[in-house]
Amino acid sequence: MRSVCFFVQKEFWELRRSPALLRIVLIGPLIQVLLFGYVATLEVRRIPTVIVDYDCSPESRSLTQTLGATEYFEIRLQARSLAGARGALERGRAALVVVIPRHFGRDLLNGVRPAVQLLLDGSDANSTRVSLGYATGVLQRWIADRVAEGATRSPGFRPETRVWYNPNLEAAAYMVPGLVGLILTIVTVFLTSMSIVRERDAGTLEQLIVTPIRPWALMLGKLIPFFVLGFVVITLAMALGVTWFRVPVEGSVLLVYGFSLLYVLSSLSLGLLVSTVSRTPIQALFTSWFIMLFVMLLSGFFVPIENMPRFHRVLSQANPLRHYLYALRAIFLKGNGLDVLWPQALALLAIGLVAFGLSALRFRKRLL
Amino acid sequence: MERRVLALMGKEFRHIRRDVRTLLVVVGMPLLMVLLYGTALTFDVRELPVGVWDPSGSATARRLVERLDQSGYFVVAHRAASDRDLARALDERRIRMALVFPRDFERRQSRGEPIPIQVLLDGSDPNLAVISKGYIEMALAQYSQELAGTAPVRVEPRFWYNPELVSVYYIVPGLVTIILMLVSALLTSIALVRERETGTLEQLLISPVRPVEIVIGKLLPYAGLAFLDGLLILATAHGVYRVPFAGRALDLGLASAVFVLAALAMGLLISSVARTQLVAMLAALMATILPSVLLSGFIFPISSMPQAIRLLTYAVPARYYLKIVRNVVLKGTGPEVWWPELAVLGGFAAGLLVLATLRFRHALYDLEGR
Repeated sequence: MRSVCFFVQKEFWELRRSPALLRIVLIGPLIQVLLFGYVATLEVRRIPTVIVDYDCSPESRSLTQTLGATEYFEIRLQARSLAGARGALERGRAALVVVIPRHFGRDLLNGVRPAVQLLLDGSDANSTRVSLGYATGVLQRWIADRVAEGATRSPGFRPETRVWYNPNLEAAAYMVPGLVGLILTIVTVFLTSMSIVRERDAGTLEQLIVTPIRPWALMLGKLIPFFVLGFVVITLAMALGVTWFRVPVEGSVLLVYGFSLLYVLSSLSLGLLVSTVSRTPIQALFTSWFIMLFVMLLSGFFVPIENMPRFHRVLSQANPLRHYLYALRAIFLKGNGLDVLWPQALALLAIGLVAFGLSALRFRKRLL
Repeated sequence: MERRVLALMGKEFRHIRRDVRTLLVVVGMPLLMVLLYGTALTFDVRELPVGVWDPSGSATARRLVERLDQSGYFVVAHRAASDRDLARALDERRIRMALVFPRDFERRQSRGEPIPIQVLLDGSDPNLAVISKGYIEMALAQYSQELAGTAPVRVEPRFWYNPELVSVYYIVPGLVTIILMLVSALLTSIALVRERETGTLEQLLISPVRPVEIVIGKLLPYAGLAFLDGLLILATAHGVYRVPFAGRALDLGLASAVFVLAALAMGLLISSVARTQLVAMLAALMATILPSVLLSGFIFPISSMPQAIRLLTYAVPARYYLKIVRNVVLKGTGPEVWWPELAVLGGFAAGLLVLATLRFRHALYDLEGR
């Protein structure tokens, strides 16, 4: 045990000797949480819209006004023909073109069912679908208002949407827990992935091998300083989230730390595994980069896991961030406790143990 | 000048070639990523578990629920016995969306009044909530049109450039952007620091090579490698996922060259500032990975971001390149449409290169002084 202590001390010295590294590790995450706390929303606002109005009746003008009055659409141009709109769509100046047909107003009054055409730029398919939903919704509401005035007949259903747990769909409220996980991953996976490779690169690994320290103790010694560093990063980022972004904390802070402990353990072990497999720092860098992207993209942070093909859904079970993120969101937004979240805790523990075990095994083989 | 640059390039190439495993990693991983993420990063909703609470017992409501169940987008996973039962199912995540029909469904229907349907969504995953909200509103609108038979207005949506809204089509340009950015910036970020750490920078210094030549000699081999990566990714996407290529390859090549140059220069700048490989690599990671994923418009629409962040995205080269790639690959437009983006990228490349060369010279003299 004493040898581990000495080793940990040595690693801490090494960290302290590189103030530039410490600065990046501590300040980088804070800046990123501040910047990106606002970013990740799929809500679509200010969709650049072109209205092609072949009708020019009071009805078509009223519809245009209703569209423009919402925060969803920003009417850039009101064209008289489709030719101008086509160019705008091609150049990316517009993402939505609403074509109001000739005799729209008259047909509406006579019950002839005019057709409103919506042209959408499908090259960004993801926001396109959301835009279409909004446009249809606004159109329905506009008709509903006219029904109320007795101008036309029934519009059928009227969806009344309500969102639970995060009523305003505020990005920051769920972004910050996610970002904390992401940044923690980048820092911990990267730093540990470099740890053993660098000893090898510098030729000091042989010296370590001839000391009586055991492989697992050496690994542990490598992990502990980064572990402490990871916890400092978490605390700073969380504090920023709660004070600046006003992320609600429904659940227990202690539980957040418990999960963070498990998560840091598993992502550090992953980094360590990379480090024992790689031969040069560049290899370690690219391998850990690959793992980072895997951890980020299949975590449910960007894309809901429910939408993925079966293979990826199963694969994502091996992703520690997936479980950590789920737990964080549940604790922060829903106030869930360990009675609900124990499967996530177990999964994190299992991933950490497997990764640590594999890297210890791998390391021993290398030594012999 | 040329001979010296060539000699330096040859040296870098040997560095790359000598390390076969690294080469495999650099070339193989992007390919693996396209295969892995091409189909996974989709926002299409499929078989979303939905709960229903219908106290009206109306036949129309029942038909509506059946239609939703068969649409492929939703699966009615829970028929609640009370509204509290429905709430619990949402709480326990057995369902992600809940529909509540009004008690006076039939009376409203016979009177021709609008029928309010409550849609409850789980906001703890807002992205899924936003998307499923769009889906359910579309489905309800469509069904009420059919129901009324004489709905006042028909809506006819058409999607251009990607008529079936296939996700892979817009994910692939994003992946190309991120991978090019990362490979270029990461590779060059350690190029100089490594020389400094191994002490070979002094040797370069006493050689007659000028700083500009060192910079060019260091950049070109990695530019070639990054280019190879981009090409492989696009070919894989085309071959495996049938991503169309509407534009001209030459256009994309031109834009990619400018973008790769900007990214390489960025890595070089980091390399000339950082003192150790570790710091250089971490700085390059932090400066590229999250900004080019989050601020480029790859996944999250830029137009929805707050003003300050929108302004900030103008400083992210990936934003411009992504737009060009989407334009060329999906719309088939030429430089007459995206020359402003190209010009900005060119500005980035030139500015960063000048900065890196200046910094590099500074670093050399710094070394000399010691």
